[in-house]
Amino acid sequence: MAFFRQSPSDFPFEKTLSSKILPWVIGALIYLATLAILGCQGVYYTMESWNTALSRHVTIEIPTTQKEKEKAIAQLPALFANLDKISGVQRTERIPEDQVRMLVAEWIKDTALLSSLDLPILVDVLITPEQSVSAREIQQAAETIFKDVVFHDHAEWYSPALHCAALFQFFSVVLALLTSIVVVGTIVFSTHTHLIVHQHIVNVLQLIGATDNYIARQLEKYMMRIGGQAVFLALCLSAITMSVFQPNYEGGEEDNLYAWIIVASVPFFMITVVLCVTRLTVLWSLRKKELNLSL
Amino acid sequence: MDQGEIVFMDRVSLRYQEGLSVLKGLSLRLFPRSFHFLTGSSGAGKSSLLRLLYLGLRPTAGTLKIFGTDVQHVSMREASLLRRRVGVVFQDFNLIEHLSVLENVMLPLKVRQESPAARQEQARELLSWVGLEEYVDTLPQRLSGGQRQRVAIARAVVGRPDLLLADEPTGNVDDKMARKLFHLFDGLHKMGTCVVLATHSRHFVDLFPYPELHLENGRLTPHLGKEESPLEIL
Repeated sequence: MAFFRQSPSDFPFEKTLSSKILPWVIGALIYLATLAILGCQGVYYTMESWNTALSRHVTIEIPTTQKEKEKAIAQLPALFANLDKISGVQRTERIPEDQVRMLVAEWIKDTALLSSLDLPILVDVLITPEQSVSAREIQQAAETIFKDVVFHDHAEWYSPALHCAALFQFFSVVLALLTSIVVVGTIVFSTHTHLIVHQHIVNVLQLIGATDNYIARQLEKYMMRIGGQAVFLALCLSAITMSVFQPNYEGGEEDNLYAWIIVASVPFFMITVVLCVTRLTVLWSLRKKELNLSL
Repeated sequence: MDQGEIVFMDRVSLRYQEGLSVLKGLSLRLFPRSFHFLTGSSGAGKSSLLRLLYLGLRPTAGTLKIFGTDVQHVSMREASLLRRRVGVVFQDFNLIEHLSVLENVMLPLKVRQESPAARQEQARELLSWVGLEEYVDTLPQRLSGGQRQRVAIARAVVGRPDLLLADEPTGNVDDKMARKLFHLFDGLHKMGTCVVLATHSRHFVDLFPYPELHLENGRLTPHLGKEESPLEIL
């Protein structure tokens, strides 16, 4: 067991109030930053999946009744032929009625009412990648066959949603950055305060030949412990949050894996930040002192 | 400069930032195996001179070489390495209160990254030498003034320094303990360490046959009545 026995720190850090409060403060900040990054990632993958599913599709809705349905179906090949003539239209196909019924069922739970409804015929038009097609042109092509068609260009509602998502992502990144800056500031402030409070011990150590690196290592060890506790706290909270929200999250398994990778990388990232910031703060503070030992 | 010379000072002056001039043109050389009393009234500059010698300050003028290295140009790291060859004892001990007696004495060896076993062995040996082997696990605040001073001496000499500086080491102890401490310093000197001991105690200066450096208004003055010494006042 002697291998695991650590020699006591040269500084009485344990007796300070900050050693009790700091893990909670830093832990909460790391948790907040993790949430912001996860939120940003979640929105990104949601928008990606929407983009894949919707961005190249327009839908033509042909209102019809049970009586007129057969006639309308018979006219569909003529509609498809018209649409195929438009440059940029890659494929046209009717959305199966079952699928349409499922879409409506999201709002109308009453199955009896649902089965009695006159559902419209929906035609999905797929646009060739990286080509733009005039919505007006598609609508005109459809209106030559059917009088009252309703044209759904998903870009109309998708663009504002994309804008909102981009805004959300921007604020998430800003929040993560601000939180990281506050974490770094807290470490700098805490390290600097410890050096001032324990200046006498710093002087004694320098007097007996301790280099700045030796003193920096002492504070690094302490801040590592604080950082370790903070990261553990943040990880627990993040895992709980993800467990609660992930079942409702629409992203695929791959997206969920990325989320867990982000959470798992937080300790390594934070420990690196804690070590670097503590070391630089100590070396910078001691360099300012020069040879001035006030014992 | 002679090889093996421990301290070389040539017209060294020290002025604090507030403009107060404390040392004025000091020149002296200290050699290994020598013992010097540093005397002078309060404010004469004894502590400032010792501070220069343990590289706690750089001189504002003149040349100061410690172990042959000009301190005017040493980096912080070089200064740290030079300080490992200097032991310092203060009147107010400067022990680290949350560490045990043994841990305090082991500290210079820990700084040098010596193995825990070697640290323990050397520190225990020193504590035994100063008569504190029973107090290894005790915190300094539980010790008397004399015991604390002996811990400070053990810490100062555990790294076997070439130069030992003591600033009023008997200021906080009774006469009986002071006598013991002086004999400890004498023993160290006989083992080869160059000792510079700042004191107000005329009695002890007269008791030991060692030369005296007398500071007055920041200047070294020859002191009559003591025999010639390895010290050279240039």
